[in-house]
Amino acid sequence: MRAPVAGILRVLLVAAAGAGLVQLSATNTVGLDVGSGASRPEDAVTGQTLVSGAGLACSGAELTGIRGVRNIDQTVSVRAAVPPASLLPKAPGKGSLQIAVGDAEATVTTRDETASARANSAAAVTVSGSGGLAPGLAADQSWVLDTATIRGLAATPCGRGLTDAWLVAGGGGVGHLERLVLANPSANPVTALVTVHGTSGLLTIDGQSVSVPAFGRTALLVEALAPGEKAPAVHVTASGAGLWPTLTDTWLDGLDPQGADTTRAGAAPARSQVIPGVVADGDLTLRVLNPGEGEAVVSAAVVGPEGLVPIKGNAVARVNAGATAEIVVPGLTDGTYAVRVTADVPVVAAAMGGHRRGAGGEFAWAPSTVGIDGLAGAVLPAREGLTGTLALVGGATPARVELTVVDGATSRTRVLPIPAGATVAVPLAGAGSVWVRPLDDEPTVHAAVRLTLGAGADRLEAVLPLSPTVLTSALGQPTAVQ
Amino acid sequence: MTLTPLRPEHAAASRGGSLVPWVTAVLLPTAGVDGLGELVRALRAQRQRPDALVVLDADDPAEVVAVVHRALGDWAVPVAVVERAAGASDRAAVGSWLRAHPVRSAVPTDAETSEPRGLEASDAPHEVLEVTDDLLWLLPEGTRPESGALAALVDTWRRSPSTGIVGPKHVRRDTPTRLEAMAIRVTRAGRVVSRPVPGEPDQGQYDRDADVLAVPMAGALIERSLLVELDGWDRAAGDLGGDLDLGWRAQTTGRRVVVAPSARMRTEPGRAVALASTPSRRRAARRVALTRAPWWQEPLIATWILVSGVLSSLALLLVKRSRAAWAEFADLGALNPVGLLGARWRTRGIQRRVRPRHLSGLFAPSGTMAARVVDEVHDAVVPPRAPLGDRSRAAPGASLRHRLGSNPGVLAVATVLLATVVAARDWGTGILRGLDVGLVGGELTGGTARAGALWHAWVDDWAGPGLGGPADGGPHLPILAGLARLVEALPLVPTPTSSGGAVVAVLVFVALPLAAASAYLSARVVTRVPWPRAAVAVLWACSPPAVAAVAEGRLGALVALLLLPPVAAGLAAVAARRATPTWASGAGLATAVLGAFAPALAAAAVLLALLLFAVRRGARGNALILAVTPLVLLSVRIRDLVAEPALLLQGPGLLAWGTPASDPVRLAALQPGHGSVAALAVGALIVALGVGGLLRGRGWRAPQTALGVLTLVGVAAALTVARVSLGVVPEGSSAAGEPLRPWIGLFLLPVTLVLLSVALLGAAPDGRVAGPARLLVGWRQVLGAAALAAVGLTAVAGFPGTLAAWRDPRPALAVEQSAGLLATRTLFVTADGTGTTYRLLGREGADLVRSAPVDLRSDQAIADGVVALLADADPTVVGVAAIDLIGLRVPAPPELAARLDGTAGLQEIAGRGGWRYWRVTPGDQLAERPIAPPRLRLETGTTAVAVAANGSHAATDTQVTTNEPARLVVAEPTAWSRSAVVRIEDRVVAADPTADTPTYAVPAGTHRVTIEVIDSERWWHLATVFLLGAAVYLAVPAGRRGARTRQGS
Repeated sequence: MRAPVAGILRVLLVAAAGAGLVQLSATNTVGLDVGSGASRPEDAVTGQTLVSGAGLACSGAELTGIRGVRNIDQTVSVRAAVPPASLLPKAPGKGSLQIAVGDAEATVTTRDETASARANSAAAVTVSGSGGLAPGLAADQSWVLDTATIRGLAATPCGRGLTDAWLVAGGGGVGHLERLVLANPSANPVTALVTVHGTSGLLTIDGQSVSVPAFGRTALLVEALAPGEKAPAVHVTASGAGLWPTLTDTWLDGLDPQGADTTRAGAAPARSQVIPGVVADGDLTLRVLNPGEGEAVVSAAVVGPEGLVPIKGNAVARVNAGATAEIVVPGLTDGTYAVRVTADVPVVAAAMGGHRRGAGGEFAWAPSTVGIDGLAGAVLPAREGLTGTLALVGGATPARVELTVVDGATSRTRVLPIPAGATVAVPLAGAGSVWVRPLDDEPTVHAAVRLTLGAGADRLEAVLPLSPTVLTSALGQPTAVQ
Repeated sequence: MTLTPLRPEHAAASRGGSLVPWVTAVLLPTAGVDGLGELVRALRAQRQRPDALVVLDADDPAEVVAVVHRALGDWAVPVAVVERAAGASDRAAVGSWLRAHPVRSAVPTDAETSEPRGLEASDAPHEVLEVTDDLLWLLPEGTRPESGALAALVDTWRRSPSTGIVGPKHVRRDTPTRLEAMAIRVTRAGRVVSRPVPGEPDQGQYDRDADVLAVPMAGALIERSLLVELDGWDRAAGDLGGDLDLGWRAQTTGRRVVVAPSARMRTEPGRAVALASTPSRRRAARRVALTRAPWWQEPLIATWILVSGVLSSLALLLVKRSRAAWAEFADLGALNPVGLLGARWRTRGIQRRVRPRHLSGLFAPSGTMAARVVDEVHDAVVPPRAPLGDRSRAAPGASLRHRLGSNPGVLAVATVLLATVVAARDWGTGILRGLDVGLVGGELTGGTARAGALWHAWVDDWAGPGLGGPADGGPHLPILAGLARLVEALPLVPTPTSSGGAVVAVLVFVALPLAAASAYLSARVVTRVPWPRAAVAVLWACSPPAVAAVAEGRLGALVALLLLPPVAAGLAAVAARRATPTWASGAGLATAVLGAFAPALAAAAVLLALLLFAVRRGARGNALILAVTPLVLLSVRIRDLVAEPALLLQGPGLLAWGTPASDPVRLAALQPGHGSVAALAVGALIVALGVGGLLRGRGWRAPQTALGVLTLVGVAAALTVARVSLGVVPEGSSAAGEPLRPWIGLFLLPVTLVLLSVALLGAAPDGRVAGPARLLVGWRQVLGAAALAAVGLTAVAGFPGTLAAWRDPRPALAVEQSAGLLATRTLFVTADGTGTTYRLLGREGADLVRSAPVDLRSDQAIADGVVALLADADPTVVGVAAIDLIGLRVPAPPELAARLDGTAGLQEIAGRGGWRYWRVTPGDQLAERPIAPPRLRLETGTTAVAVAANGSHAATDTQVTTNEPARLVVAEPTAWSRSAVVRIEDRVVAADPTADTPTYAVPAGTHRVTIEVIDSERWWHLATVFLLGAAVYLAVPAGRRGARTRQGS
């Protein structure tokens, strides 16, 4: 058999050349870019785009608008502002800030202006910011009444729609009147289900279903849903864009008005709740709702400027499933406290403090808040004689926040250390708005503004929790894809 | 009716009584006197001799007389030699002679006759009608009667007094067993039917045809009186037409024309007997039919001639029988009205004694012509039978099932089909829904794409999904559109929801079996031995790039799988000088289609063809055909390639989105990606077979050497392409920002093909390779074992990717509104923390397969509107883009959902498939408004009415009514107006230059509104389609068999 010499040589040559090519390619990693494909846009990264629109809802005149219940004349002051540009991650552009009360509108177009409007009708108030005045938008409403039947100072933030809100306030028996106002910040009608919990559990099995028109509001009397309940807590679930609920509590003890206040929804159920800015001069009442299906064991701790405040009495309570319970902390000296609530199951909590003056008095509900994560702010009511004090409370470890107080066109920013386990009070004399941003990663700082009108036994009190604001859009600069 | 009994075979003719007519043989020599003597001798040999001879000749009479005298010998018969006019035809000469001698005194005594013997003078020269037994036997040159011809003719004539003309049977002079002609058969429309076909064996099959319409003049026995009465032949009708006309007129006057099959004439083909061999003869026959028809039938027959002529010629043209087609078309010349009127004038005054309907039995049925055309088509289309050696080895006469079951090619395809089914087990049976809606997964993006949408995506200036843009439709779109149209037209099959998707799905499902079939058939160029071809076909279908292409839905590679083998076979055949022009055209067409899907491979094929053109003598023509065909057909794309050369490396499904550069070692094992162990084994097997094949060639000039070089070139090209980056992956893909590369598997296919070709060469027994026979047998077994191993490994390993039936993410309402007159779009938003992306999905589907990154500038232009919608609850964008539904991928930032919940006019509906949906309802306060933002709307100050949009990108043709001046607002980008023409009552209107969206003024009233997206390259596209048709025509293996077969090919 003749050996196929040519074939063998051919195989060897091709194999050698092929191996050489592979080796050459393996050792030479130079790429050939011949395309014209677009590079990835820089602005596709999320979080770098300032929001260009923001809308908040305020309850409007809370003491009016319930059929069968006498309307009480009141004038609600609504104020809205945005933080200084220095607090924003990017320089904002031009924009406008608008407060709409019915057909009336108040508009500002400069950053250092505070928009304000007055409302006295049973209509929701909407606050909207667009363009450069949308990032960080904050607003609140306040009112003062000093009549024969109602006396009190109320201040509540305006907010975005919530689809699940827990409001703990009101009750106490005869003379208390709780008005639940559901404001719709959106352009579409929203359906809501309102249920009331009491000390004996869920009081309204099927709840009360209500429909709230676009940019409108609906007011309910909690007393009508849960007559005689002394420690009510209201649960609102809403569809769509949600609602901004507030609960206004007025207390008339016989012929003596004992105060009035409006509170917003507290933090979502959690095993640990923090309530900053609790005003107390004597007793402090902590109300806890256990929305779960099992019994909760709740303990409370009151924190003051010096740390934990010794509690006289039982600071631990058992709370049945779906029920509310109260822990009364007596004997507190006049001051601003924070309350920490710890439970073995998620609970909702709020605290009420105040003072009595003879036949009259004043109280203020303080809801639990979430730790500040980002920029939180509050616009202070502009009333003569009204003073504000920023109350901050940290967690188990020291923290630092960047505090900015805006007074007209000027703003002052400083870093404020928050000691572990103690409250910090910062006077806000003359301030138009206050903005707090944590400098730590963990959102352990909670803050509220204690508002005081007058002095001594006749003073009126209110608590205005700082609201988280939205600066950047989760959208980023959207990119069209296929 | 037989009045006279047949005479006995050898009975002599007797002259007694009127039963024995006087027969004058009229001899018509035309080309000298050579044949004249032979003809006279044939007459002398007749059992019944003619009674007189007349020679009509233009040559020297003295020589004619001498020749005749010599031929007559001792036969004493009156002979007259008459000089005919120079150039006069036989019929004209007979006519002239007859007019001079209308009665038996025809044999002249005048000066032209030389030494006539036995001349018989006419005693009653003017009593023509009374002399009915005076017959003329017309004998032109080229025909010679057999001995009993005249007797048979006369006997036939005698049998019926109505018989006026008797024709003989013409057989071929050299082969008397074959027929040349008998009667002249025509349809009622004058189409001549060749019956018998000249050369047909004479088996007596036509002997029963007695009565006919006409007979050829040659050898015909005609009553002199009849010929005089009919005034001879129509001179203008020519030979065939004249004969037909004469017979037809004889029939009309009540005289029969019959054929005497026993009267045999030995005739030279194409000489004595006039057949329908030329267009003029066929036209003459048509004219006769028109002339002889009643006046009221003439328009109908003319119309029929026109229609049937055109259709027949088209059908014949279609099967590349151009000559036959031209012959059919040339018949239309018979419709010349002047000629018809002339013919009618010349033959006026004929006494019609028979009604036309009584002649119907004499015509050939029209169905015979349809059958003839069908036969022509069949002959042109059905390929010649393959040589016996290439057929299945099944025993002759085996059943079809047995033959199929033992055919290696069929077995190879069936094996690969089975392996495909097993390998696709992870896809589930739900994948079959892809035959209705298309597939998704890998490079397949899914979507609803019908033929019309795909076509418009190619031709329209403004096309593409979403808001569209300046079109850049790839050349694969018209091919997909054509196939989709075919699917839509299939009878008894429900029209798929996405016919384009169905086409792609079918291709994915059967790509590997079809690839095996393609490779098996194409491998004939290497060897005709079937089993090695089957083994190599299986290896080709199971090669790692092939399997990966199916698993990842890479359409371009799938088409390459099917077309690369025939293209390579075409190149090989051209190189080996074995290709025919048809073959080269077919390979060129395949290259063009390949170029539409995988331009890089087509470019390589064209380069090789040009190389052959340059260096290979004897193959240059076919090489040029192969090279030029794709260049011409893809000229539009080539222009784009010049502008953007990177397109050469792209194609539908031919990009790797974000994968790192391939490992060279893996590439050497033919792995397009991180293949499985099975894929590695199959790749290594193919490489090993290729190397083994290289070993087997004899000498350096063996084809293995060239293929070895080609292998190296292919490997070098693949390694180079593996380093190429075409940019970065755009947003919307998980690999956004990563390099965009050509899919390397495509470039491994040629390497695989060359390796397998080398391996197959090693198994060729036809002397192309060396090696002892013992080893040769072993090599075939190795190939078979490798094929079995490859198919087994592929089946067991399964497809590495997962495909699924596409499911429209939109709710049924949105799908309906998108496809309906509102032509709305759906906005899909994804905000997953890594970025926010959005996608507009309307009736304009995507390209089914991921190609190059789409130009989304138009869609990107509404980004601010999307932001306003999502961040500011500003729904302006829904009207701008005709969005009726917004989908938000979950999980999404709660604020986004809340914002959409709170946006005026948005209403959340049930979500599905990981999406939350908000339906758009117009929030304006207009008195009238459509139920969703439509693509086209007619706005006045107080109303907004939807206008029906029928086509892609707002194309429409509809009517609108408005009581006051209105504006037609088109929900397309502003730039769209430059690519569209809007007409109101056929008047082109311009867009309002100040409007943000294309807006057109519409006056009050009812108007027809048409919107047409421009095809600015209309002529390019039309030319491409025309050229494609021409290329297909040239490539179809039809026509004359000799033109499409070549020995050894």
